[in-house]
Amino acid sequence: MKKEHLFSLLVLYLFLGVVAILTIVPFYWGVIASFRTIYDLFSPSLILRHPTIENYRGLLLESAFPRWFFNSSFIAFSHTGLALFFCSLAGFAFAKYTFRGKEVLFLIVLSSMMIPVWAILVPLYVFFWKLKALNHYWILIVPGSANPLGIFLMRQYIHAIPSELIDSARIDGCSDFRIYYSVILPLIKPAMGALAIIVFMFSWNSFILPLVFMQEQAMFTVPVGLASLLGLTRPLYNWLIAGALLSVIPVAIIFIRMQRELIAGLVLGAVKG
Amino acid sequence: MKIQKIIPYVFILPFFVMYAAFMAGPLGYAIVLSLYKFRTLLAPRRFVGLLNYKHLFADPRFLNSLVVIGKYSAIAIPVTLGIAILLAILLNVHFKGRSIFRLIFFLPVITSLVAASIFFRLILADEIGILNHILRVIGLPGYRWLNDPKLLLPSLITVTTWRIFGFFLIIFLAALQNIPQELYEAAKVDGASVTQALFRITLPLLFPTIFFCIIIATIGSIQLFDEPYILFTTHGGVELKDEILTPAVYLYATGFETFRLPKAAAMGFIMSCIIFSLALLEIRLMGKRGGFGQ
Repeated sequence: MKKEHLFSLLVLYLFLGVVAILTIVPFYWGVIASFRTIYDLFSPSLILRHPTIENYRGLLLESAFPRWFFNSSFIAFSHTGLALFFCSLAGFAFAKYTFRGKEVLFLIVLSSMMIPVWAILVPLYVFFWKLKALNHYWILIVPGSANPLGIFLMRQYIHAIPSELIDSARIDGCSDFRIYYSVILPLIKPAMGALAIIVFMFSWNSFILPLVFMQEQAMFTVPVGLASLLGLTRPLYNWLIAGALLSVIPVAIIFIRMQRELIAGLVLGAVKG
Repeated sequence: MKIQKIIPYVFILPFFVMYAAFMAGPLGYAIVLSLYKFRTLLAPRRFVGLLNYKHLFADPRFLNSLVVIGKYSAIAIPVTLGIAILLAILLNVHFKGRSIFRLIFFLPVITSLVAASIFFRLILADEIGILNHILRVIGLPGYRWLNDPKLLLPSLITVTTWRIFGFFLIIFLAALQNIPQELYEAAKVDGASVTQALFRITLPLLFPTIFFCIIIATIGSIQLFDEPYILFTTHGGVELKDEILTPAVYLYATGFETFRLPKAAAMGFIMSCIIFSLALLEIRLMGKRGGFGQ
């Protein structure tokens, strides 16, 4: 009986091990290839013989990549900041206030999740073109920052906060915004962390909106910039690999540090969304 | 007292302003645009009614793109969900190192689609790609993974499956952990084998989650864009290869490479109608079952 158990455990490890290797091989290969010279970039060897940082040097000094990295960071951080503020504020209102039309308004919030980006891509493009707003940061920062998923998550968390806390703060003479700022915000920090990661990740990785709205090279985000390198007559594959890896790093760092919150948030988002 | 009443509306105002400006408004505007015809944004617009829709439903490329996504979904979704369920069941067993495997399987999900597609583009490249290199070393012929019409769809499915199975894996894992352990103990007492427990307890209880995943995977695949765009883009824009031309890629090419914006708006509207009906179907079926494994 014991032996059988050991055997099945071994099979389990072997199987999961193979799948795990297949999963990380593209990353592993990307990492070592990024340190190869352009001449043996495609060497099938899985060992790195003569590492060079030439690809990174070229990408960072000779391409517009640093600018794209700045654009992506600026957009993702601002978008996340706005999203945290707007979503927690709206979540607070939906969780702790009674007002006319609340149910209907919340239903509108939820149903807006169903509008796919493909339905509004063309009209938004025309709209921003008319406003002369194409190639501006704000069109990627502001739209979507008060997002329905975030409002929903925040409402759930704030709902669990005892109303007595709010009442006693009100008796002490706190204004509504003061209650939001000094009572609610400190209590929903973990939820804000989870929301921040999800929003940041989506913003950082988003592709179709910056692809359509940002047409000047200096305004590209990292994904759009990398895609533009791919569109060259002779794509600079060595730069591309280095750039693809650098683009994964910010999200990977956040993910490894805050795995649990991210997964919990994504599962909740997917299931309730 | 008056101010007190306005405050909640002030708090939810940002959402509704954005909803009007960037969602509901554009949605209405999309329908208006799709009824016109114009060559450029500065050119005069001509009202043509439903002509764009009529043309679309006679456009072999557009109809083909719906077939492509049908084929894609029919293969990719069972494969992805199958892998995810199998791995979730295995990871639900208590053994050392579970969390490391979970971490590894989830890594592709957080990778930018563009970065992931770049890795694969280089791995699958014709002459220089590492996969063909390895195949040649072990004496097999190389294949044109990204150029042979027969291999385009399988290559695309491989990449998207790699990217997304970890996401569904996590959802199934959460659902599995909600199945009461007593059910398995009772089954054991009754003398049920492990396989019987799997088919009589685990899978039936997982069914609502599986159904839910099928719906969101279908909605996701209708909107598939990043991977086909990056995998098959060349200089001068995305190549419209019929085998992997998804509706989203066709919409992008129509609207932003050949600048037929009204036609693209009509396509977007048709796509959202499809997505909307799928979501409604989900809600109806879900309502009947009264919630699901979560």
